[in-house]
Amino acid sequence: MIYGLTLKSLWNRKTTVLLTLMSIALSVALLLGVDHIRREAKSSFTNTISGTDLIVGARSGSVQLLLYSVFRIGNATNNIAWTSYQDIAKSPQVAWTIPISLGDSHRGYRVMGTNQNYFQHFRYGKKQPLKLSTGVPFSDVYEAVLGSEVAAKLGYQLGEDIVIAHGGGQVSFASHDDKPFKVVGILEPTGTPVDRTVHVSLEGIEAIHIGWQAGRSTISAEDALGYDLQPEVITAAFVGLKSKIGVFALQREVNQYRKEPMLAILPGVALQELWALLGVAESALLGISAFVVVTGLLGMLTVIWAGLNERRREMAILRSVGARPRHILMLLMTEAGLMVFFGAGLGLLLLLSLLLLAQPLILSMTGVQIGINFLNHENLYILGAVIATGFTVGLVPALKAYRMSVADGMTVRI
Amino acid sequence: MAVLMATVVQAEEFEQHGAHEHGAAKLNLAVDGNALYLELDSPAVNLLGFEHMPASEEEESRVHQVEELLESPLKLFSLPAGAGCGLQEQSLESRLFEHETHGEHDKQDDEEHADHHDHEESHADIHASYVFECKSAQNLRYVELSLFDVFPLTEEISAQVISSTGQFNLELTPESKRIKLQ
Repeated sequence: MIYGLTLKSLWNRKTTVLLTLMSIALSVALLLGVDHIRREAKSSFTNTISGTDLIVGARSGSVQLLLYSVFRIGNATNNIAWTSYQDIAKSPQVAWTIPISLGDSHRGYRVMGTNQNYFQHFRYGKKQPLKLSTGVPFSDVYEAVLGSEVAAKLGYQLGEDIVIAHGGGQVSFASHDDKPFKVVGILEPTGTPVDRTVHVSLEGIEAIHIGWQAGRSTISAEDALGYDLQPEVITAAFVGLKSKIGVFALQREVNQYRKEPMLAILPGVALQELWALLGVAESALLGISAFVVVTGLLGMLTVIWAGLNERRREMAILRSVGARPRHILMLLMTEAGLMVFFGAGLGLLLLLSLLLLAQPLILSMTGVQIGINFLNHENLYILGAVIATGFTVGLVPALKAYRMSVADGMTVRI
Repeated sequence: MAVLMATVVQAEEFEQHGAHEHGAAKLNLAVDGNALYLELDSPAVNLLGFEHMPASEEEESRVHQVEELLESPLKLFSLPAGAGCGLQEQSLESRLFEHETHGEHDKQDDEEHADHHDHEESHADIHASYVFECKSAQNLRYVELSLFDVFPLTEEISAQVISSTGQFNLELTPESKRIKLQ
């Protein structure tokens, strides 16, 4: 009965109610959206690397080393000598190593020099190996394997030639156009920075820089093959150990290496440090969205409260047909509850459609894969809390209406 | 491109200085199969109350006492009884303990120790590592640091942990001294 009356009463005031619903919907969508993206970004981050026990690079900060070696964000302050890398690789506890060399780019995408170990040992997500959707890993100096996004965005096919540019910018005037690379393989999508990387051999990186003087090369592609293409330095190395027990000993060995200052980090630990850094901004965003929800609920309160005087006649009629003051109380609480409930529902729909729209954009811009399923336990709790607060907030105007209808009795003084 | 421009660092040795913060210690923990590895790196003052070479008899006996405590790791780390962990190996290193030989000393260690003597440093660290073999490693749900009670001068320990669930770090204090492994 009361429910039906409430609905009809709300329908009578549809413009105001709709605007209130919108503000609640927006605030709920914002709160859940921020929380969802925060979670998804975190899991996307943690899925970027897996199975690697240590990352070794020049001594800097652990977060910085993680950022440039794994996320291809920023640049290395220094490189490490090939001989130092060999010392680590030959250590008896070490099962495998992946050397990487960064610094060049192809049309805005990073080029990474590495070797066959990369395709064999690199893992992401839940220890998933890299898979080629077509082609084979590079085996020759001038061969390249593309990440899925590079191939899709730039429309490259197997067998095409690509030119690598000097440095990391989107537009570069110094390109190694005399030594093009042939695309021999394209990787399957991983949802990690691998998708946005062009992979070539370490020897390839070395070859394009031989005889490099004042923005142009003086040595042809064929001649470069005659040189010793063994790199003298690399940017970093991923290391896998035979037993986890040995990780800390090797970490210390690297950190105390006597020939050059190096740093070995546990990627999981560095990720956590990175996340702790971002945590402040994250909490701030979440706090702001919570306040937006509060604002939305206050707006609803204002609307109901302001409407009470106009609705004295409505209340009086209800009383005349036998409604008791407590029915009036119930009516107004149900009204607030329904508004929050539908507002929250609308918010969910809004968020869902926004996510559907934004998902491909976010993926292509940041490489972060945002899932659609945002309704986890915690979000349901948040939603429940918002609706419960809505009901409670409704109690304020409801009590006023209760008192008014008791005082007014049957006579309405307008 | 940085690769070619960077000058290759020649194999020159340089001095390194580790961080040293009183009250704070570092712990490394790794679980692999049935093996549990624990490694404690602590400024000596946290355990002993001083860091100079023992001068008086009192200090000498304190050093002995701490050594004995460090040689019985189950007093420092409480492991779940159901895991059935037994100590396999241990090693103890500090210039303060040098009158005796503990564990393996490789050549580099000895050189480092020699360095320390030359500099006559005022700070000293204690490094202890332990390997346990656990009969039922699936029951190894946590490791609790009772060493906060044994060495009350230790205020916080930052731990790096490698467990079956992955790598993580955490800050431990006398109020929260349990490392959950599962």
